[in-house]
Amino acid sequence: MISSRYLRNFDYVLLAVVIILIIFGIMMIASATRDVASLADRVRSQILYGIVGVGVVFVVAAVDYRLLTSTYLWIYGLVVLILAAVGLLGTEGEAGAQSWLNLGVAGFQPSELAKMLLIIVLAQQLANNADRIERLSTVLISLAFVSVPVFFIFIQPDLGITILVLVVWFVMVWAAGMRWQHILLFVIVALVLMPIVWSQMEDYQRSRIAVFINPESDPDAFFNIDQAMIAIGNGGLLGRGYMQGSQSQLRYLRVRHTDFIFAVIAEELGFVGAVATLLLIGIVIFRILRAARLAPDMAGSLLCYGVATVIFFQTLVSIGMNVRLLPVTGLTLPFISSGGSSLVTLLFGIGLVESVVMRHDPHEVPARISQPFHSLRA
Amino acid sequence: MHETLSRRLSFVSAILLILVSLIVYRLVSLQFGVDTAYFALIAQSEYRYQVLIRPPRGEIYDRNEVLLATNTVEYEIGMSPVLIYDREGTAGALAEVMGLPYDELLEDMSSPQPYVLLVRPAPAAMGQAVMELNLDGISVTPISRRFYPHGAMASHVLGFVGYDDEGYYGIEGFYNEILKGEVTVGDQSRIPFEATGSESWRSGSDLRLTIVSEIQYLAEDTLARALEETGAQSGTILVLDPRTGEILAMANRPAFDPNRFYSQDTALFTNPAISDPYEPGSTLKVLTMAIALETGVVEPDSTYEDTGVIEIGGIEVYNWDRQAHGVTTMTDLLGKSLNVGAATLALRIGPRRFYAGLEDFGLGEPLGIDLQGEVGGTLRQPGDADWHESDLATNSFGQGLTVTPLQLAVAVGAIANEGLIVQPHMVSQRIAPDGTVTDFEPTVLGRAVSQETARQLSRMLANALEREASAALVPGYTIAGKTGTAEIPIPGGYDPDRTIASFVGFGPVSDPRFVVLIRLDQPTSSRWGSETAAPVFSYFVSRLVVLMEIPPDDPAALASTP
Repeated sequence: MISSRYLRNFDYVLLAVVIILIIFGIMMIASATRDVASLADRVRSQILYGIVGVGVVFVVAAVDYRLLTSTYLWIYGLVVLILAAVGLLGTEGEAGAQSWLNLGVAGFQPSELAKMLLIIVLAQQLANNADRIERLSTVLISLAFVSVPVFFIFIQPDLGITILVLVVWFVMVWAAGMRWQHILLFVIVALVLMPIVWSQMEDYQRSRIAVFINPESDPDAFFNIDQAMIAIGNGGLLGRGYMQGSQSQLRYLRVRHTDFIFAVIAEELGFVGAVATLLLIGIVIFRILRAARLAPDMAGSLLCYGVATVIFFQTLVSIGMNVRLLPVTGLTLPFISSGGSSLVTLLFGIGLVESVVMRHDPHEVPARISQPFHSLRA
Repeated sequence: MHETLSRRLSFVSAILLILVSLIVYRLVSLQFGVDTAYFALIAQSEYRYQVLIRPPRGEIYDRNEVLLATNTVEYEIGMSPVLIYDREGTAGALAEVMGLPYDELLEDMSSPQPYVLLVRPAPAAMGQAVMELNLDGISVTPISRRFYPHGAMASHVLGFVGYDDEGYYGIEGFYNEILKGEVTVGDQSRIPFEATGSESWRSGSDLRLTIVSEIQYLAEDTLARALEETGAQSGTILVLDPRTGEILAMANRPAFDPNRFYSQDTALFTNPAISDPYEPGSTLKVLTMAIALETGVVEPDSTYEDTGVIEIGGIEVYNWDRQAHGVTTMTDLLGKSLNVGAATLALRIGPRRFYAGLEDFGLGEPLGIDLQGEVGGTLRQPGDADWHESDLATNSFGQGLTVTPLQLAVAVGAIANEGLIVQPHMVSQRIAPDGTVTDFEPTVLGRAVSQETARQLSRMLANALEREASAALVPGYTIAGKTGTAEIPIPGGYDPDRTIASFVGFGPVSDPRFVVLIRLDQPTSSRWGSETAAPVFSYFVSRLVVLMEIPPDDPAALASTP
């Protein structure tokens, strides 16, 4: 079923770096949750989900991504159905949002899966309309298309993934060829809509932004950001040593195994550890962009852009929040933060990328990124 | 079209690089910037604040390693509300383990204070149970508490450790610096495995005392019985080894429980054996006789004419029975405890030699025992503004001067120790944290009288007791000693009804192993030392020799006893 060409094309570097990141993440989670009874099972579950996730990579890679993209309307329907169900049946997660579905033993975050499935949907939807992309109507239809699931994610409420999906949509539409004028238009509309969105936001979401803009407005919420800053500032070049960060080990940092895992890294492994983390994630992103370039068709290419955007945006926002460049959104650091849904979903994305890159023709290595698009239309 | 996409990818890459650069720049400024020191300081202040390293206080043992003072741990349990994010769960768990009301805990958690004290001191079991819960935001800090397993036993010897971790009174006070080790500020971290320079702090040394628990217990028990039988209000029994100056027991009644120092009458803390000088009365005649023999004014077989009264410096001195005893031997002077005789001796010795002699016996100054709070009695001398010629007479039989029980026991100990005054001490060994043992060496303070005088006087004291068939005698053992009955000075004279009855003696005379001083304050059964303190001495010593495994040295006396 899988030819030897496909196996040759499999991006082993990408998978290797991803596995390194997961193992690194497990080590940091071990450090961040050490001696905390309520978090004792985090390391074990991360190992379990890591193994399951790597399995998912192989399974998804084995399946031709075109099989998935061709059924994009079914997938779209499924996503909307699940997200709608969450509103009715969901249980409260750690942040108090109704973003968890209780599926038997393990709780699962549908919005996590939704973001990856929406990439498949958008890739095909945009590829289908690529030749009409310069029209505003096409862009608006695509936006309307994505708005339904985004609405359900927003009302959960999960501000982080809401923004993430919109950003992914924006990048994919852009990559597909949206006009500059339209981009400008969207920026203006976004600015106008901001006060309306603000009025619709949950209190905790507002306070996060308020705290970001004026840290002293809420000492309690400010506390954690401040602790993260102290942790990072305390790290120096080489850090305080694994399992020896004062902020991390003494539990001044809350949710240090998820949202603030980067602060733990920066404190315990220092600037070197932090930059190494960035570098590894950078390698992952560039390997995915390479796959986007090699993709045999536009849907495959857009798929890769989408996955790269998710990883990049989550990294940016998670680290940005740790170093107080961005407000606290609750997005996790890809592959590293503790969290089964997030990890398996990301590995599902990696599987998609592998599926794309496996199916390119190495003898026809396109010199330019546009070639597969061109050949598709021909 | 593909031109556009290509340019867009470059544009995306550029934005990507800018954003990543921004993060790296931020990291650099946070980790290497001017604020680094500030962050490090804050972090340090968070994980190193309020940390005062108190090394474990040294333990105190008796001579045979019976534990007398040790440390137990209690806990302070508090919380930092801002660090708790599962308030209901935390409050529920704490309510169960600590038995505090759930609602109050929840209320405390909404406090804006950075730290809320929950319980101090919490018993070890509670502290450990809370520690095992391992809750975010809940801190369990061990606090060391001094514990005295034998309660009030030897409390005056031991002293106690206050809430400030400083020792007060007795051994705890005197050896405070040695016991508590070196308290270091700040160089402690709560991070597991972090090197904290822990080598730099020094634990306290352990101490082994000279006292023997069994003898101490016997002394306290005897004293308690004696107080009950004689109706005395308070009392002291002191046992020391005359050859080394080692205190074998030092018992006072009433005593206090050092475990509960905070709820006791503070007046009880002072150790009467070293801190409460009294007029010794006739027991001092031992020293007067010693000086008389030493200066050669009399020989053991000398006699004097007792007329029942002698006038010195304008006052008249009478015997206790107001009788004239005629030609009297030196031994009978001691045996019958004649004030006229003592005053006669003092007159013959003369003030200069008399007071020099008393000083040689250690009177007037503290002896330097290793216990907190020792005082020396008062000894007025010629040349002092308030000294009067008549003092020479009254001092000769123990009035108008004061000594502590310790001073008298040590002075009489010199007679038992062939004339040498040995410094009394409480600690036999000091064991440093690294295991180094420092033994105590006896210190000879000086010679009070010659060896010959000491031997002569020992025999005289023993004979005097025999001849008077003293109640102090112990079957099978030769005992030297002297009773004392001191009236308690009141403004303008002495209270005839209230006395301090005492007995000081040593034995066995051939090879003295112990000096025992019995002091009973205001006995009601009899005012006389010979009828109160002397029987207590006999009772005590007959048991002491068993504990010390001293063989009888007077089989004849043993055989004659039914």
